[in-house]
Amino acid sequence: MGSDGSEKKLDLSSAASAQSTRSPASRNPESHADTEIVDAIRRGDHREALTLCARHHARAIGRLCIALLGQASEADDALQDTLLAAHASFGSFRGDGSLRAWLFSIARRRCARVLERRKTQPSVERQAADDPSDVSNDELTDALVDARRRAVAARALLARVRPTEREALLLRYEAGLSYREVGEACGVDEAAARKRVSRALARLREIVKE
Amino acid sequence: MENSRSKECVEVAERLAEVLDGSADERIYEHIASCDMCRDVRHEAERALLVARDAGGDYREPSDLEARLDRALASDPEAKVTAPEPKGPAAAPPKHGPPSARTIRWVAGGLLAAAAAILVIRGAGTESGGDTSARRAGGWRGVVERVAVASGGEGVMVCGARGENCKRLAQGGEFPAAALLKTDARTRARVRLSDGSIVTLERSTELLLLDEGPRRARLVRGALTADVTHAADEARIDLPRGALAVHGTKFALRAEETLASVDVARGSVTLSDAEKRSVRVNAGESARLAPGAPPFVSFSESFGESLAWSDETFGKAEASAGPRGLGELKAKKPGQDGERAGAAPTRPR
Repeated sequence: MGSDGSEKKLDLSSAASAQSTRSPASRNPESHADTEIVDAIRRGDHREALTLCARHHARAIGRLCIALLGQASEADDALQDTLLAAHASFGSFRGDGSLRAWLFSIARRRCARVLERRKTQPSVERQAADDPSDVSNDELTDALVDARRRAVAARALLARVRPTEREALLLRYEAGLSYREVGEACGVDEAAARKRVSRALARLREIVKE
Repeated sequence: MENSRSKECVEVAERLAEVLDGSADERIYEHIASCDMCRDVRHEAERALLVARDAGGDYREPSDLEARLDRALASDPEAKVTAPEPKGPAAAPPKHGPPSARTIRWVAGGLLAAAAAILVIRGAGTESGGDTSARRAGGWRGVVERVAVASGGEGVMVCGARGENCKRLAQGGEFPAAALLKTDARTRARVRLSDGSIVTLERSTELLLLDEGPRRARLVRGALTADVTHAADEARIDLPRGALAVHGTKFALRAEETLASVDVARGSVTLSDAEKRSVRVNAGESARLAPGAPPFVSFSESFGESLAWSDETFGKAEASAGPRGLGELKAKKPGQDGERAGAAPTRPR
């Protein structure tokens, strides 16, 4: 039962078509979707708000998580944790800032925890990672294999960038947040967010050049 | 002049993000246009940006996200009163340190919920496409769907759990739970198990179906490919020095006395060694068990090849149930499965 007492099941059936990390709508903090989510939170329909968050932001959050964590299974878990944590905190969400920045701030910290745990509990070595999980017919397609190769290579390069700067860079260019939102998600002001992104780009430029 | 130019170059480097976004001052763009070094810097930064945008490009949402969230919400009575995340829209500094009591409660609640969910699902018998009652009653059993025997091969044998009382199984032959399936060096076989899973046994393979619980087997030696149906009861295949937990997936598995390998084509599996060190293996990855090392995962460059033998034998083309060998030729048109009429046999059929 959700916090609103509703027994209804989550309906994410249109999630795939509704969301796109690159779409202008999902990049716009004032988007209709976020307005809908905030409205649902304000009227106490937290289950509906969670459904909408999953529908409109799950993919972008998942992309950020896999970019930071490198492992699809961990990214899936971090995505789920993020959405559930958001659901648990809807009651305290004031709505006077960007919803997306708030969601991504949760995701960023979840991923940071996973990475810290990984350092203190080195269990099993993993070389490559990343679960393409299911594409339409659940089979690995050439396009996905290609995307994966590029992603694995990109993550290897990004791993050499300082964590805070890497996060800012990914929040800006992978998640599509504005600098103000990157600042909110990282707990710094907008100017500092710009600086972090610029430093990350400069560092990554050097790495790519090598 | 030189100093001024140098300062602008530094500014370009410090404001790379704005330069790429198009939000930098006009004078910076004018400088870039007149400075070869800064033009190169910008070009390289654009390449770096493309790299950053690739980093999450292979992510695919879990198909069961909806179900996962539903389960978690249904099972966590504290979900609406706990508030593990920031109170406001702005992010708070990251929290470090040991897990809080609240986190522990979440984990404990999740475990209880998972156990409850399994019980509920088992009780309701919600599996689809499988023989749930048979699974509850014991282990896997099934039927031999196809057999491919090269000349001189004995076919697929079914024995008791200790290898006793072996008998040959023809195509369509059924085998019980707690049976040992064996192929010799000239035989491959495809079997359908009671839950709808398909297993193809490579030559010189022994697969023991265990009666210790639902969906349990032991790959004694050899290799197989399997397309295991998704079900609440996780399938498990024991190995000589480890085990494979299967979450509903397609994979190729090979086991020898001390080594084992798995290539996953779809879904995921968990491979663990004798010391209970485990690793999750996702689609497109392969994992190895070797003495003295933890399970090791790497990107699979050859999972297609790992599955190819079974597809070639029992894929689209009909496999011959009888021996095929010397004295017989067959012909197929490229891209077609059927044997061509009029192919030239070297002896009368």
